[in-house]
Amino acid sequence: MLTATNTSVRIGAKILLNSVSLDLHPGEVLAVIGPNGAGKSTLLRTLSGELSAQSGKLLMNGRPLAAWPSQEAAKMRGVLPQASALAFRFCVMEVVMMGRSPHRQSRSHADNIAIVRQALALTDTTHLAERIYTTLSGGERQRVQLARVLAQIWEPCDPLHRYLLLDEPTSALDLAHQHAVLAIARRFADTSAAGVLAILHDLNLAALYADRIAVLHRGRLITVGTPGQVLNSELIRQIFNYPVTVGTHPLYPDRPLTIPHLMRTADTAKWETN
Amino acid sequence: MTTSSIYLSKSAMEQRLNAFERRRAAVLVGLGVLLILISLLSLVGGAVAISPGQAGAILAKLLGIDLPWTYANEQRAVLLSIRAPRLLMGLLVGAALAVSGAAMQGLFRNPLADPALIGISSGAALAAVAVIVLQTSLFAIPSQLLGRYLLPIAAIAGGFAVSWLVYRIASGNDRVDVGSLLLAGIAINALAGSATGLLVYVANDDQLRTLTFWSMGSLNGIAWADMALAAPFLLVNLLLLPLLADAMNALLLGEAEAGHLGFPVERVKTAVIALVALGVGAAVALTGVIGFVGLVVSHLLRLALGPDHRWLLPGSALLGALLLLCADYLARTLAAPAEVPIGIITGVLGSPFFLWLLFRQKIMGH
Repeated sequence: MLTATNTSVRIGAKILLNSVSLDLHPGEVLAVIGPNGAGKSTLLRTLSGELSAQSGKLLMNGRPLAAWPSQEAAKMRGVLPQASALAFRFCVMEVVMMGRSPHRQSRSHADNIAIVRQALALTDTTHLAERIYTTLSGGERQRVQLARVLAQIWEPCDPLHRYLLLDEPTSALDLAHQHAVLAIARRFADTSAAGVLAILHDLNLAALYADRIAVLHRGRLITVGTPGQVLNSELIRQIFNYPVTVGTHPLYPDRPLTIPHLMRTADTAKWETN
Repeated sequence: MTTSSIYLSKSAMEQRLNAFERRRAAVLVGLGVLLILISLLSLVGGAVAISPGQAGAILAKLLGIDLPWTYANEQRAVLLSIRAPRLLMGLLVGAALAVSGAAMQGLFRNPLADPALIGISSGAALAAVAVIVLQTSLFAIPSQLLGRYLLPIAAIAGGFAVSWLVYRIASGNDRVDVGSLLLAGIAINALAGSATGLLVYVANDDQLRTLTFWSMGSLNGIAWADMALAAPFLLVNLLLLPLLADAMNALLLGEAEAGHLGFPVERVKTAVIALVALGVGAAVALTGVIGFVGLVVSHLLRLALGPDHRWLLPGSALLGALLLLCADYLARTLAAPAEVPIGIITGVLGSPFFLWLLFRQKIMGH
């Protein structure tokens, strides 16, 4: 399990996370939702070891996060950033191969190549393998980065569990690829007993693919539960400050469907002054 | 996505990847061959004529073999005490400058981060100039303690301080800001320039000659003793930086991403900066400021080899040495028997290249 207990993160005087307690279970997809500035990325960066918490306890597979040697941690936890700064002309194959860095000593080059190829196939990027990364579209780059992160935590590290942390993995993608990415994450959680945490803005994507949804607001965890428990029009109106109607998905009755109302011009002014 | 299409593309993809690896290897071999040729040329070319046969005979004699070419004692002295150390120094300095440039560009995630352009070389030069002028006054005690090593050590310390400062200035919010990077370089170059001006003002005639040499860079007058002084530092730079190639590749993804891949990012950054300071500092201490080598070499090589540091760093060592030996050959022969400072040659060749790079970045929009 990847756990945060009473975790608080401050930068200067600003409190970004306020005593958040959240568990990421093996085999589940946990969606994190909340308005901009709610602390979603801070939570992810804290769980990924990038930010250190001022107070609280962070454990991965029963051991404090900071106590894992960085290479060991890299074999069990992959992180997909929101956007990558990569501006050098690597080909896609080389980028995905970087995901194998933690395994260079323990696995043969042929094994690593084979895993890279499987990761490319899984993310529907095989046809891009020889393309130069910087010439790809935003959506293609995001899928290549996902392939890199999957290649990084490809093999089981029994008896320990693996974790995949995704920061807005669908933001640059078209409809089909949004679903493809979450289906990959879903399948990874189901077949590998890995814990997947994804920050999502689309409430309907969260409702369709997540086992549980955590709602963050102003650095606090408001609630966490199944989509059916969490998503209701009152909560969403309060958190996002926007009116919606929540129904059920016509094809999947256990999945809520969130339908936003039309914003009238009068509301725009009110919203902007808020 | 069907299984058959994956397997169809598999062999084609692998073949082309292998072809890419072969091309990279061929580029390195080609550079090696050219480097050997220019090395031979620098031994025979210059104010005192020495034929290739004579050069061979002089070198063979060192191994106790007699070859049928006769030579004068003067030619032997020129070859062994002037051209040979100069050649080796050119090889090491060119290689170290180019590898340092490639490493700095990786660290800053920007192809414009040349050690001279962002102020590292002038920081090292300022420290070295301060030692030369103030050796008998302010630095009397360290000078007695460290002797000839004070000069390279001061230059290395100066280079390290400036690299660190520039890095701090340019890398806020996990993104290296190119604007601040180049502006920091301008500021430091200007500061070092005026401090050097001040030292020129208080320097005596002997020191003035040495100072002029610092500002332009030259391989002139390198003796075996200078080689012995600088070589250990340059070799540490050349042998250890390539060991960090994987980590530097990961750093190109971003610092957070490199951390997620399990690399100790802070230690890698400190190690790269320290090794670059070691190489550039030692190079500057002995040969003055030679600009643009790092910039031009690693940029050209990225076009031929791609940005992978595991290929780029060895390639840079070869092409850097090659370029510096060519520039030195021009420096010695253009106005023979007089010499043009080599920094002027690399500057004349490098500045238009730099402008072209800037222009290209501008139209390509990154």
